This record gives sequence, C-alpha cells and structure tokens, in this order.
Amino acid sequence: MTINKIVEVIRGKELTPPIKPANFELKYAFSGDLMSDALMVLREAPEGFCEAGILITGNVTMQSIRTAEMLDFAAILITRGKVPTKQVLDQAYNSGIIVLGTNDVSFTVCGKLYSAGIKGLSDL
Amino acid sequence: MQATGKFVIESMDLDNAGNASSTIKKMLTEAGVSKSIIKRVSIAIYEAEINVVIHSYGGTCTYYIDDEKIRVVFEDTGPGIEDIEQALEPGFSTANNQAITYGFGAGMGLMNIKNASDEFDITSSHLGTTLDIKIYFN
Ligand SMILES: Nc1ncnc2c1ncn2[C@@H]1O[C@H](COP(=O)(O)OP(=O)(O)O)[C@@H](O)[C@H]1O
Ligand SMILES: [Mg+2]
Repeated sequence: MTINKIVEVIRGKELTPPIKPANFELKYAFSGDLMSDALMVLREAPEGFCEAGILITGNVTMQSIRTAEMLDFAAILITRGKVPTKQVLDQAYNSGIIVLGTNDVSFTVCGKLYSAGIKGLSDL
Repeated sequence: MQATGKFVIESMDLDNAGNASSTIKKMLTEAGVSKSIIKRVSIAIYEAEINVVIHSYGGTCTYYIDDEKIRVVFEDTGPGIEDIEQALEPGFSTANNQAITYGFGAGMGLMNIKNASDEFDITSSHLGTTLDIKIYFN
C-alpha cells in the first residue's frame, strides 16, 4: 500500500517531507510501546519485513526513531495525536524514516490497517 | 576491513543515546556486511548503549572491526550489577520512570544482547560494569 493510501485509510498525516518515491509500498506493521520488545521480537523477523514495515507506537521520543533505525523500519506511525518535536522529525528524516501521525489510539489504527491488507508477523 | 574507535556515553542523556550504535551500523553497511548480521549487531549494541545510559553513571563504547568479526566493549563507572544472573532474567528491571518514558525498562535487553551475540561476557562490581560482545560476519 502506498504512503498516500495509508494516510487516507488512517485519516492521518505524513509528518516528514517525502522520503520515498510515491509508488513505494508498505506491506507490514508491528505495534508496541516497549522498544525492547520490538527489538527482541523483530530480531529474527523475515528479511524485508521491517524494510517494508511500519512501527506503530504511542512512543514519540528520540528512542522510538532510533529503534526504527536499528530495525530498518521504513516508517513509524505515531498514534493518539502525539506531536513529535522538530528534533525527533529531523532525526527520522536524516535516517530515511517516514513519520506518519494519527489521532486514533494504536488499537483502532491497527484495525484499520489490518482490514486494508497490512500484515503482521504472525500472518507470514 | 580494519577499524577501531571509541564513543563516550553520558548517563541519562536519552535524547542522544543511540549515537554510537547508529554510527557503527552505518560503518558496517558501507563495508558491505550482510543485512542480517548488521541487524544483530545493531540490536545488541543499541540495547547495550541504552543500558549504559539508563543504568550507569556513564561510560564508553569501544569497537574493533576486522575482516571476520566485530567486537564491542562497553565499560561504565558504576554502580554495577548486584546479581548478574538475575539481571539476565527476562522481565527483571530496575529502570526509572524516565527510561520507561523512552520505551525501555522491560527487562529484556541483556537477554536480547546475549541471544544476538556469538560471544557474550559481562563482569560487574560496584566500580562498574564491562560488557564484551563479539559477532562474526560469517
Ligand atoms: N550497565 C549497567 N549498569 C548497572 N546495571 C545494569 C547495567 N546494565 C543492566 N543493568 C541491570 O540489569 C537489569 C536488566 O537489564 P536489561 O535486561 O537490559 O533490562 P532493562 O534495561 O529494561 O532494565 C537492569 O534493570 C539493571 O538493573
Ligand atoms: Mg536494558
């Protein structure tokens, strides 16, 4: 699913300037607020999962961006309308990570994306 | 490839934590190390760097890269780990609220570092903790 389509599905916003070409497709997602959990569960994720994946989280600190960077996530989706600081957005942009935002809670936005065809680890 | 270097890690500096890991990750990427190995290295050294930030008075991260492996040594100046076996147990954590705000303190870091590494050695006293890990490229 393209970034534009995802933004439409979640009725959210793209918070970083465009990083990838418009036809870049995101296929997978992982949701969580504990960075160590993501780092553990995704250590052995199938190749390409994070590279075409979105990290969905209510954690809007520098360390959620760092975690996405270490795992090679293509995008991070910040839930509950939290607004990242400019420092956080710059860090993401410089690491090539797309930042999306939504007012929904994580549960709701996960449901919307799953219904639209985005897959999780256990679907592979 | 042959490279070595050192980073200083400040205690509780959660906005800059990850700088050492990020720099090493970029070096390995440029050197053409395989993606799955880089992921293991990145995860291990990132969790280790965060531990120095959130649990210690500060320390250093020294890396040694050669053709067959990377070795990374984290040294800090205390307060040390009282019971290493307990610290390695999943779920055990003494992290404070600030660390938790940044998404850490689940008590899974050390175990993940150990599982991601080919060689893992940790020693600790009240004067500090030394974590020495190696990951082979093949
Ligand atoms: N460098 C360190 N200095 C002092 N204590 C440490 C250090 N690294 C780990 N610890 C101790 O080991 C525990 C477990 O570490 P870890 O598994 O990484 O979980 P977490 O960082 O989420 O607490 C920590 O909560 C802390 O008590
Ligand atoms: Mg830890």
